[in-house]
Amino acid sequence: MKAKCRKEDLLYGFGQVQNIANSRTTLPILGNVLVDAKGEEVTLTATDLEIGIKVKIPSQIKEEGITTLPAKKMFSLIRELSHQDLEIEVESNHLTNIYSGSSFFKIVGSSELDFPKLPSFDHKKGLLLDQKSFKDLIRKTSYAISKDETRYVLNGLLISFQKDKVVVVATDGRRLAYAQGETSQEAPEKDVILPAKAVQEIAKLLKEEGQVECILFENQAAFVFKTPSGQDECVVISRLIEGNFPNYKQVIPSQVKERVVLNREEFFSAVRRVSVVTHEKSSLIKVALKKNLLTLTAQTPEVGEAKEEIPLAYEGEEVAIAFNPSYLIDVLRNLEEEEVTFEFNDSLSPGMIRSGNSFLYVIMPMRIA
Amino acid sequence: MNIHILDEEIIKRIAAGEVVERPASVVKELVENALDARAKKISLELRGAGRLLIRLGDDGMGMEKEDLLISVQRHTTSKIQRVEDMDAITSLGFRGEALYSIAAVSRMEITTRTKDSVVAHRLRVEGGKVLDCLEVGAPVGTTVEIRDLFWNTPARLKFLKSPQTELNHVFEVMAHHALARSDVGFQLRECERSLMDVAPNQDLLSRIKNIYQGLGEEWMGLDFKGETLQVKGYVSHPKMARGDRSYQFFFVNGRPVKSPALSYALEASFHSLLPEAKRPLAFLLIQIDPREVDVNVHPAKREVRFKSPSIVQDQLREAVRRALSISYAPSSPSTPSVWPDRVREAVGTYFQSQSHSSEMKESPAPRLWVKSMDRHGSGKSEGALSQEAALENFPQRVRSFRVLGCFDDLYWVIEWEDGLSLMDQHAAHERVLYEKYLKDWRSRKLEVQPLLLPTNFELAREDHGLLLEHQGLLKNLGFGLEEFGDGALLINQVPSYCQTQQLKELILDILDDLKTLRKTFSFNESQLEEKIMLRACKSAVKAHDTMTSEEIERLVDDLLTLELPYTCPHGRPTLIKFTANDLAKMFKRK
Repeated sequence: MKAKCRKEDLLYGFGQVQNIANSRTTLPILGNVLVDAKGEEVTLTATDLEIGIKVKIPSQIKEEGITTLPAKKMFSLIRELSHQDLEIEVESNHLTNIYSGSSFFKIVGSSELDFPKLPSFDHKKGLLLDQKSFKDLIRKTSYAISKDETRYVLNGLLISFQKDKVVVVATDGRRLAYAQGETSQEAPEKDVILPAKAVQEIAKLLKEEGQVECILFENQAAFVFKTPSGQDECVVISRLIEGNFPNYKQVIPSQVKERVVLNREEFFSAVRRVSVVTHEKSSLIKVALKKNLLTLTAQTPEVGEAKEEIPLAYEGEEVAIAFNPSYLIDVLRNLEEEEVTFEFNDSLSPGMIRSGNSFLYVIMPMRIA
Repeated sequence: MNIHILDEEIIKRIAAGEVVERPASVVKELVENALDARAKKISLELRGAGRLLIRLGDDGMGMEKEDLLISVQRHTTSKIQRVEDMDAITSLGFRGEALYSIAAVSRMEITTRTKDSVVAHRLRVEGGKVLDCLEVGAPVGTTVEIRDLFWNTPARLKFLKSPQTELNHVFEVMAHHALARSDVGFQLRECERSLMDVAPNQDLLSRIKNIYQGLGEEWMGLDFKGETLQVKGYVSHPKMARGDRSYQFFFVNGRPVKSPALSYALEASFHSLLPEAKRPLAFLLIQIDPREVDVNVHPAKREVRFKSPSIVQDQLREAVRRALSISYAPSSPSTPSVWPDRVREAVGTYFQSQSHSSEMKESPAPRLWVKSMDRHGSGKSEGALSQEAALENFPQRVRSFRVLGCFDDLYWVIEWEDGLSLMDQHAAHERVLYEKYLKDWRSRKLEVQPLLLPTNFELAREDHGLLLEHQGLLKNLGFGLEEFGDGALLINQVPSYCQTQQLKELILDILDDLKTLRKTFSFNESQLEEKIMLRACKSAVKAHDTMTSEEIERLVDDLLTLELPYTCPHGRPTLIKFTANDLAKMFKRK
């Protein structure tokens, strides 16, 4: 193999795949990146057996070939290069020479035959989503994914394709985030649960423009990222979490008694300030409402007290509801809209935060026993 | 006062008292009889948790009329004949007391038919007196029906526990035998509710999973033939370990037994793979020459004595160790994701050291540790000493130390006047934080987080019953528990300190505490409360372990003011001390 690439392109490529490549597993080959030079591009592939990622970068190929190279070393090496172009040449035994300006490296690679094959899905057609809106859906929900491994179905993001829309839901049993987006074409109804790690990697790859194609097969899903011109740029393949996601519709309150509109930024910073006086074990703030006034309070014996007042339009009954402030901060941080609606029934039943028509967040109040 | 011979009636009841303690002991005797009669299917039906009715049917070989009539008399048995037989008992029963004793305190009906007989016979006995014996129609096998247990011994009746507890005991007896004999089918029903239904000829692993749902999935199989015994069965992956021994099952020649000697050998094989106070789970079937074991130690035959316990222990250790090394040797990539690197390394070095020098039973560091514990820590483990007293107990001039440096960002080397210590920073910090949290716990109001989506999980039946029994107490501590169908629990609220991670693990830990505490004489609720707080604190401390190097001196200071500074809340050592003397020995100067 002999290929010439731009440093910038290779750095981008290795930067994307090196998170997945992990040499600490018992299979050392998984710490390597499969480098495949063919036609006019070099394809980099990494996998941890749960997630696989493939990135294509443009290149001038003088001689086609394939090998695997250590991911972390290559990334650090390319990052440090001073020259803008580099040439990769693989000798026999997977010894790889790298020339760049006045620098020269010989890197020990290993055989591509040991590298696990990613499933092929070439003949499948998927559903196209705008990268920007998919990214938005993930950002608004993924923080609510559960980390409790005993409820494994909650360790991922529910992606539910429903005719002309896609619904994304995450919950950890204490709060639930729901967001929906449009799709450009109709698709058969299907629910999948994408593991948290894949969600994280996909979120990193999503850009402001271009589309992403979701292809579902058996218990895996592939996400093909396309440039605005429709070129395939990279692919993420992930195993899906098997099992049934809880019925989230049941959790969303169908009726609410009271509703107040809040300036998101103002509410967010007030919650953050008040939560300073909470304690990691006694983390509770009170949201109290009375005529045209919302009050946030917190008190912890060994820290102190805090109180914030926000005037607003409210005519309903006086009520005080206790929440874990980090659940409020999570949602407010990840929204962009200027206003949010806070909806509730009483101090014990689930409250809701809505923004626009496409997002809602259900949060369970806390109680003092 | 004059001494006289007790009358027949009283003698009967006293004898019954030894064997028949509660419905579960009746069930045990009847199941053993059924198994000794080579039954392939045993079904048990209960009413009122066994107080109103115990009906045990089997398809074993049955009895002839003559045998039936004398079976309910004292010291009658078909299982042994001569004194020599006592030395090599192969049947489960042999004492010839069971039916006699049960008959004395109940209304009993035995229906039995052998395969050579056309009709069955039914014998009715009430309070030990035979009422009649009739010919009836029945399938081959024996059915024993016990009604109104303890009807003539009201005192005994009074000592029975709640129906749920008694039922748990019966279940336990059935479960033990069902595990010992996976070739036999077992059914258990209570008032038309099926509690156990396992088909004959199951393999052991599916039987374990059938009977004790929710124990975990990672079992390591054992099949070992030693010099004098054979061991088959399963031991748990170290990560499934529990805080007590209630899931260590040993079956010696098909008889379920408790044996501290076997438990000890089992745990020794897990040495260094588990934190202290964590116990492996095991289901081990041991076949041994009946002459090598004495079962006539205890009237209920729950204990056995080995003629040469150390040989048995050695073989058992070898068997378990082999299973561990096959399944979890460091080179095996079988389950890379669930096996933390650190533990894998520990397993690796452990087995390496085993193979290099088999006579070295533990690594040198823990040995030193134990030694210094002995010297400085004795007496302190009572935990009742005041701060000052604890300090006095530590070598004098305790506060004059110098931190020499740090290795691997984790281990600190500390110089004392009389030696040097290695300190695990995380372990030490955990211990300090833990004590602090515990201290300000009671001053706090309990905050509860109800769950939007209640979580449910399956538990073994005994565990399930136990948790529900203490539902009220757990509620006071912030846990909302509800019964959720058979063997499953629903958790709908948790204390707010118990953040997202590993709820099930916490509940299992609490369960283990409950079990251990219940057995102590001084069990009371506040004691459990304290234990649970400790558990909860652990989870809080885990999340909090960043620390800068400037704080280390302060940490040592803090650590030494504690009552139990030597281990972290998880049982790992915090501080390992080498005195000049220890060092001299290590360098062979002494």
